[in-house]
Amino acid sequence: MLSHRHNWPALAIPLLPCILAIGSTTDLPSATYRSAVSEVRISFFATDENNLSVETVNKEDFAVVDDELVVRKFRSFSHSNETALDLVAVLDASESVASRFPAGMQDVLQMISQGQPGSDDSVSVLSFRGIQPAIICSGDCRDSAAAGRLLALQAAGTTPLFDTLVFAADFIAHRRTAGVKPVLILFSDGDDTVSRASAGDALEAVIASNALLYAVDLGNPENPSNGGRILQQMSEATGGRYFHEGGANVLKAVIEDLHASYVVTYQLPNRRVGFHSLRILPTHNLNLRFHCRNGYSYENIR
Amino acid sequence: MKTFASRKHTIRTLSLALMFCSLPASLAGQNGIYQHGTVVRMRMSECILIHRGFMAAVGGIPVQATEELCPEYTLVSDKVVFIIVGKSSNQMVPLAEVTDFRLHNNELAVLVDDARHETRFSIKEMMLRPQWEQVQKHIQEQLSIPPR
Repeated sequence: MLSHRHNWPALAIPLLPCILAIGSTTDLPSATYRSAVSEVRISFFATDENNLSVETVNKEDFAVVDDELVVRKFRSFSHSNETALDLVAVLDASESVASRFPAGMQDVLQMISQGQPGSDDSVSVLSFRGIQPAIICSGDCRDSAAAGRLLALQAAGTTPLFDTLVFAADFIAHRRTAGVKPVLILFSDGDDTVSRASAGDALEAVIASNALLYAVDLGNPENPSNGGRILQQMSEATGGRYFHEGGANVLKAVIEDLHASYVVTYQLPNRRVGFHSLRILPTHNLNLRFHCRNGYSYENIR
Repeated sequence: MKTFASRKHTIRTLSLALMFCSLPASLAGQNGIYQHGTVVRMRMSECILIHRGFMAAVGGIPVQATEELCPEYTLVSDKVVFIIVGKSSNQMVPLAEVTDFRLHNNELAVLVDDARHETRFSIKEMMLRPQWEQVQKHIQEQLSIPPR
């Protein structure tokens, strides 16, 4: 019995906040059991040299670099059991994207219409301009009223991008359901102009929510700005992907990545308290690219 | 007929050139001159700038600051531990259990098995393995001390 108790806290470092949150809402006995987490769990998918999802990956195909240490011995390796998506499209409606805003809106409308009625997937839409984000629809965006609200949007005002990402991370974290992968799809040029939160705050919030960030760059390709680089760095840091254009293909990529997702677990390589950086790198085929979050925080519970 | 002979000659020349280019790798493989090691650490660090040419050597050209980060690997072999650095941000070593490598002109050439070619890294540091193990043991001891 005791050994079982020893095992459950070792589920996963990324899941620890969830475990603690669940624990706080149920009726627990007065005695609190605490144990140091000793296992790391990472969800990832791979793409090839053409940026297409790779369906079959073996555990011999990759190594994890955790806090600079190369890990090749894994406790478990399996397909991800997340089979549904909680999609939150985040549409930049600020003035700086005015010329590409109609294309972005069409992509979001297409995403809503492509969602399969009756499936476990859900789609929500947020937009942002001025000083704060707005919820266009939550959970079910397939009704005509939601489409009407979306079509009424005009691109104008400042760009509270980072504040919106913090809001979106909180929004998606509160909708967390077992077996459902949370995904933020951001349509923006990446050029924040007014947020109180920094890019670091926004990234931290998205990583903490366990959501993947897919970014579609609405910036002008003929006049590239720093925003594109920010979008790319943020999306890759969460284990998501960055698209220059072709927002219509994002949903297809998200679905393919979901079906090609794996989960690997391994023993914590060192007990250094703080942020552990993460990378997954190929062991033989250098054309493979593995997408996972860029790290986790380890807190030693004694 | 003359054109055919000329084309045949060109193909033969190209084949010989190709063979010559792949000779070091294939000979190394056949003759077993590759040493074996394991990459145990990887991090991104500052790239090592190498200035070539006479002016660079004697003229004291200042080291240019660069924002680019290059992959740095700790490669543990039987007797020696190498710290090697890639020459660009995307120069990677496959992280297989066993890495085949050889020393070549002050550089370390790693055999990239799937691509059947070598990729060369700058050697940043070399250490005897017992000495490196002692350092690692010390680091582990420091890490195991609980924070106050």
